[in-house]
Amino acid sequence: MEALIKKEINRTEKPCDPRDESVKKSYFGIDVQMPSHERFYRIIFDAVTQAKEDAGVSDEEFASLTLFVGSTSINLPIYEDSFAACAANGEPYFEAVGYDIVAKKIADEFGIKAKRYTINTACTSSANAIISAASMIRQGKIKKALVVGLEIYNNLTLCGFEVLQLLTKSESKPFDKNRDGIALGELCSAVVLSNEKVRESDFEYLGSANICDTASVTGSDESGESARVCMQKALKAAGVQPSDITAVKAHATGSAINDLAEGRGLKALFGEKMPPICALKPYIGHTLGGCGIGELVLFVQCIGRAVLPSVPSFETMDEEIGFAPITCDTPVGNGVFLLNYFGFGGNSTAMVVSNR
Amino acid sequence: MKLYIHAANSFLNDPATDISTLKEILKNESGKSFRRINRFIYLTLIGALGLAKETTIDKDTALYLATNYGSIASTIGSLTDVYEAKSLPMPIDFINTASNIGGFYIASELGLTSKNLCISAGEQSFEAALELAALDIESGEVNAALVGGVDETTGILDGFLEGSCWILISANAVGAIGEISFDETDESDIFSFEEDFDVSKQHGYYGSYSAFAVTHFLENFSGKSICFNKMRICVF
Repeated sequence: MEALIKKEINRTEKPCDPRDESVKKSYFGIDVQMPSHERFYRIIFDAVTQAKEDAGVSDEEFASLTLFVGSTSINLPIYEDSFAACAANGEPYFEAVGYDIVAKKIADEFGIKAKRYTINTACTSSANAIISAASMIRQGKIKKALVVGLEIYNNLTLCGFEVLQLLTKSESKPFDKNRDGIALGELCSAVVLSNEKVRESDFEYLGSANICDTASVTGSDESGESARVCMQKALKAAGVQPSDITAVKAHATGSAINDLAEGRGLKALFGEKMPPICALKPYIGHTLGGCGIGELVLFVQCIGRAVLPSVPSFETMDEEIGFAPITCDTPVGNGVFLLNYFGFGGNSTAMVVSNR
Repeated sequence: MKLYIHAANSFLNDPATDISTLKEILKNESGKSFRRINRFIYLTLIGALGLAKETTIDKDTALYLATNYGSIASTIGSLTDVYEAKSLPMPIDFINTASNIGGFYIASELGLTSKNLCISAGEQSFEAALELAALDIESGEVNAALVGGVDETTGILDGFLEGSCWILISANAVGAIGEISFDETDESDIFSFEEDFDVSKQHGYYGSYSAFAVTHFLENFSGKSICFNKMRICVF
């Protein structure tokens, strides 16, 4: 059931066009473009195609995969495209498409016939999508799943983070004393999860936890206790101890409160035996709900190359956090790895994977 | 697999109802006034807290919020700010465009600290949420789950109602009002969905309307069974 939602359009004004110089100024000079259906789906289909090829899955088998999508903004770029087109044409209506639209388009494009699920839990969205898919596989409900994480550029997200004063004025500096906010990024990443190890380089999902931190709608519990509990539960679910963790992929947005909360949580969990802490947002920005898969893919690819990437923007340790992330590329072997994700609405997720 | 239903609550609403009326309804349900929340969150809280009034909900209960369209009115409002008024959105309006914020407020009110998901699967969003909840209960990760379907309209969809309908499920049979089983294909001895219980024709609940199908059935059809989308609901 698709629905038409009436939208009262002020016909005396053109819709906001971020390419206008006056608008660019409020977007901090970022070279942005109007979201479009074409660009949106091209990025998504490219990522899914690459995952399909990398997994070596036949067309027939791919069509049978259960599909999970995780994203914060999900269909916002589509809405923005429709909104602008509607206004330009003087149309009083635009189509409400629902969150399932992205999964449906992927299914249509790749002939996927199985069930599909879209998870919308802010910055933990695609991490939670992986967890649900992995649970389904572990319990024998399905054998394989396609999991897609995405966060495609849209003006509302950029404007929203600006109005919340969460954007950095310089660069993403996770855990740094002088961090001042996040740098947004966009991505689409896709993975095929399977109930069997196909290649020697494949990672195994060991366990995870998702909890709700009700300290604040937009910020984490500053004491770090919620973050610690989440990580501790994930380790328990994975059947490992803190001392088993080879390295941590921190959420590490570069925002003052959330880095403090995560840092204190890490400190409480690991104490003085802190494993190497990585942060990937200086490389790709904060890709919000897409980062669950995007950073997992990037992280395991780095480990596959036997290196943990440094945090290049880190300069000064924050005494309140009490440790520094790795500041030079660090050799790493096979091991057990903890990945953290925290989002608006108190959504907190930690996941443990291994290539041992 | 079989799970037990311990409580159900239906809240259907005429989209023409203004926000102050929803505020009053929520105040009656919760005994307190809320600020900085939008229509979608009002609906979410009214449905979930209405259920919570009737039963005990453990702190480790997980939450699965199903929605087809999510917080669409705030999304349209914020898009209007950006594209038509050429201004930045209001901070709280932008935050509330994220549909999982409704789950946050429920968790905050009920003291829930466990899993908290917002799930969508088109018109089968509620069924998808139920499936994931059942999966987590079956694995032992979760003891009990609060599962609800919430969708708002923007007030102009003739014949459609908005709603927020919730059930509390667990693997514990004690005190249950009904049961739900999955992967059911036996259609003998069931209540006819089409002939006796076509909720979309009778009520037109928009979006995740099957949540209402389940809660309405539980509330009104004692001793009956219904089977749809490979799920069978039996009311005790």
